[in-house]
Amino acid sequence: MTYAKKSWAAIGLMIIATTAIAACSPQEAREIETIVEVEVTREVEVEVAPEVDEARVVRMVINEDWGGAESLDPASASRDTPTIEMLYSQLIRLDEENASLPVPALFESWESDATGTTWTFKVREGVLFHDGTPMTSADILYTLRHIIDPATNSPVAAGLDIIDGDKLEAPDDFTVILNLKSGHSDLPLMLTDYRIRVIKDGSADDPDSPDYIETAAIGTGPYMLETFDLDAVTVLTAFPDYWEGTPGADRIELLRISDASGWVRALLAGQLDWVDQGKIGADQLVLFRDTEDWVVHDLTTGQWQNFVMNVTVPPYDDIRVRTAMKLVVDRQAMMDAVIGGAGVVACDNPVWPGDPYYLEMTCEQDIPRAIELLAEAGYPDGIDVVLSVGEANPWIVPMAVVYKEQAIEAGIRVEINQVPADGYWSDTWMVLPFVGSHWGERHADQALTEIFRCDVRNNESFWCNEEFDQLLVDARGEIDFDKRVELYQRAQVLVTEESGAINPFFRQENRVVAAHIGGINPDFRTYRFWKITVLDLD
Amino acid sequence: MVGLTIVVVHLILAFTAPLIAPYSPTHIEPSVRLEGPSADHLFGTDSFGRDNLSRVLYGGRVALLVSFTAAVVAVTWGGLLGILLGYLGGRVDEVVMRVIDGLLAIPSLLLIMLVILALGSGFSVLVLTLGYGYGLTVVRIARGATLAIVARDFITAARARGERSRTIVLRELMPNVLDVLLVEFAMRSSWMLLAIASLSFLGFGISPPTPDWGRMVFENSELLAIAPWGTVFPVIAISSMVIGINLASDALSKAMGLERTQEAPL
Amino acid sequence: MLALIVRRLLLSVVTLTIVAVVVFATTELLPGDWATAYFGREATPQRLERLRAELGLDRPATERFASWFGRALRGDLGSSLARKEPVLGLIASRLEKTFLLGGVAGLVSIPLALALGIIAGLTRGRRADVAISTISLIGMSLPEFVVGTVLIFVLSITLQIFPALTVVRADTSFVDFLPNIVLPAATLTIVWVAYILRMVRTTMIDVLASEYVEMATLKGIPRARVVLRHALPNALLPTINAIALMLAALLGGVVVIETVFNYPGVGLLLVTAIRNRDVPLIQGIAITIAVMYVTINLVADLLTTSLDPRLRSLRG
Repeated sequence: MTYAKKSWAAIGLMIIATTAIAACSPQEAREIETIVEVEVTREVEVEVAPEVDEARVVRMVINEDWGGAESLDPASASRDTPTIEMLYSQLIRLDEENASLPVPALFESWESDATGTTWTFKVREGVLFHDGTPMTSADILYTLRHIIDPATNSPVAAGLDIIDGDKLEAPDDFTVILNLKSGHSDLPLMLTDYRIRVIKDGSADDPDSPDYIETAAIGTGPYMLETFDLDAVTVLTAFPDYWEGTPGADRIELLRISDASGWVRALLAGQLDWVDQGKIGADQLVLFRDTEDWVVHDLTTGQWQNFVMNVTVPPYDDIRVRTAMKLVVDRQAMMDAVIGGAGVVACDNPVWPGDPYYLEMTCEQDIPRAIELLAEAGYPDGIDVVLSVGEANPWIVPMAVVYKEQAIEAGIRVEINQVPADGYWSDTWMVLPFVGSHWGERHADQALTEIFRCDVRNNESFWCNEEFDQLLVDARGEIDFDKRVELYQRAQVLVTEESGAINPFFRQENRVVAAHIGGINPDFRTYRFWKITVLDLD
Repeated sequence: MVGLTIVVVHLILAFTAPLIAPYSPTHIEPSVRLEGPSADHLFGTDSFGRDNLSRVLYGGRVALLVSFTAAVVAVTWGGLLGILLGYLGGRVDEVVMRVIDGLLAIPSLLLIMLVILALGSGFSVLVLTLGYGYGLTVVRIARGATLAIVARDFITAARARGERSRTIVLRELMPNVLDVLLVEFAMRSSWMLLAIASLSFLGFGISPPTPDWGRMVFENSELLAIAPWGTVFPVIAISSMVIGINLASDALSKAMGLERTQEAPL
Repeated sequence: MLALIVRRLLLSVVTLTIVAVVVFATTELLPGDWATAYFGREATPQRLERLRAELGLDRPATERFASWFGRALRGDLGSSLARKEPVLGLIASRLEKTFLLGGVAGLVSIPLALALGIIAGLTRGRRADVAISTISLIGMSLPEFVVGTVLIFVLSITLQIFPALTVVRADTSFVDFLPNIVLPAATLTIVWVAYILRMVRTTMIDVLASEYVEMATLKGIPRARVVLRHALPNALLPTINAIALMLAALLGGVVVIETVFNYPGVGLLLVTAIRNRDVPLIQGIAITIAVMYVTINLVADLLTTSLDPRLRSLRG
């Protein structure tokens, strides 16, 4: 505890100095004070130094999004993201260099039949769980069943509903066969979801206890659970038998800090080593850039926030109005104003530039054309709209302010209706006709399917296009990559031209890491926790 | 006199903000992020490139309006009820005071946060919840002051003359308790101002992008090292206003020959 | 006296019932409940229904309140929805930390405020008084979160002497925990000293101007003796009252300070509980604070009554 010593030293110094000043004449006091100071400083250095070397600790933050209901079950709706990534391993993960390429993890290799319906996976051998038992195909089937089980309430379950849960097969200890309800040529990509992580088959130990997974937290990840304490510090220790090698740090400490300003302060005060997932606002990064103590990693991502028009409600049911509303946006200017230019312009496309199916487009602001379209649609004198935004996403309010200023040029008079963040998703989003929204990065198929297909729950603009839906079905069944690209790109054109979503830009995400932490690729978002090391800067 | 001057200057600035503010308080100008004080931006700019001076000028409007209105609400209902209870006494007094005691036992901040979550942080919600919370204590104080007067001769005389209760309350009690209430009003409004700032800090205050002193401090305080002006000016605004009100209410109570009651805000 | 205590205790039950009803009714006003807070955007009607049924949130409000109240009377405040742990245990461990914070701040601020207040009262209008009064006025005018933020900036970030936030492992020893208390306690101290010292100063001035102090001075008793034997004891009484009020207000007031310093006390627990619609926890904290408020008032009243025989006949 370096702080304890430092502050005791400081308190001691203050007491001694005060006593000295009181006891002696001013001249003497000054001398004594100086001497004491020198001594104390030396003492601190001597005692603190060896402690740092003893254990190589990395201190991160734990999410507090669920107020104490955080779970160590990777499939849970309230999983704690950094923690599950260290405790458990994925079946298939994204490549460190190419964030859209599925590469082996616990599944070593895979192949499918000609229709993409039956998939055979080879399981990695020699992988151990934290309790020393070997991981086999039985554990993988247990994991998949646990995710699909309605009682788990897992948010991943919907994405895996293409897998036939009754036909999960494990012919031997190191082979898994999955049968799909219909062909899907990108199944390996789907299995890279960060919440699909192998847990130990608990059926033998305590089949009835729903808490088994949460409390035991036995996985095959690089770190093992020591204490799970949502009030203060959760501690993980290195798992020496990790299948990729011994982890580079001895201990990971996950601190509970309840708000964003707390994270910034803790970093500045040297209480934290690592904050990522865009938790530090773009406006505060200036504190950490170009400093000796921290490194800022700028990562291109597919995270976006958008304005959504309900295409079934006037005036947005007129595609000319929708197009005009999109044309008034100066996307670069908006991005500069809201996130200081730290992102990539998006042309209302939910598929991000890092995706292999991404279609590049241009979308310049065009005020005259917008005015023309509005006039054609019957609004020659402009139009009044109400844009409802909540504080659920910190960028959405500034975005709305900029949109209001840009739209007025075409006679679109925007009234910003600010609603509370609480209950936003139940009372405002998909309820009022023109609202703010935001989404995490998704693969092309997922982004297009989950948010724009006619019948899905998250179809936020209520847009329905048969051709689009058919394109998605065709693409999934298409084995040839180039043909698949064509199909997905045609779908992207339809979304950007017709749907009610205005997505101006993809946000950059940042990671602030203390300079003494090594082993992370600064350019890529995905990282391997076992590679993280603590460097000796002195 | 000093206190009153500060308060009046604040009120004038808040009132004329739309006329004297150089920019719109919500206008985002990316090219001038976090700039220091200059001729263009006397108080510098914040991380969105918004003009701090304009935000400080506008930031007081809502807070001042809310705190003064809420203080009026608190003193009015609390004062009337207190006087009435003190005058009536007996069963009614006992039952109502029991309820008031019960309500006082609820941490007011908890109740205010819950109500704001439920109904949003609009002007009327803030005024009513703060007015309610601070009014409870006013009831006690007004009742105490009334009890002291009721015991005095001239009320007994009025009763003996057979004057109606309404006349006694309005003609005799009210004017005599009024000075206590006036001091209460001044003090409550300064606490209100601090309370609103604290609520903004906790995320329960006036919602952005409406400028507000408390929120400005909160938003800019992380950047204290590189852009202190964003924090310093709104803090000066809050403090000077609170000091002004305090000095004014001190002077007021001195002029009226009253002791000041001391309690912690919130 | 005994009859008085019994009567007051019975009335306290009435008070606490009012607290419980009002707080519960207010939480009913909130949009959404724990189920919607938990699932957020991933909520589907089926999921919400299942979770509500599991936790009994689907029952009518009156029924939920009645069953909670019945158990509360027997001393069981139920379990937190988010933590699935007994509310009492959660509150107890946090309360300990809040009391520690309040205790440290009290130990520093009360003597300091008394000393400064007396000095200011005695030197009324002179330089020492002006200096002390000005500082206290500034102290009063600064919101707690501003004081806290500045302390963190100077002592944690720039000088790195004290931790900015309190995040300590559960097994941390008391000695290692103490540095975490310094900044929040200092913030609380600054606010308290400002208030108490103004109070002491005012009373001091009043007492010094009173007839019997004047008499004592006229009698030729030395100034120091007049102050210590006559003025001080009289000035202390109302101060003790003010301090009791501070104690009662402590729990409401620490919410902001605990949030600034991430201090694991009952105030931070309350903010989290409210954000998550964790109704049993909100109720539990409200009741706990109310119980303490009532107790402090009761003790204060009993003390005053027993000290001042005139009041006994009036209130009995």
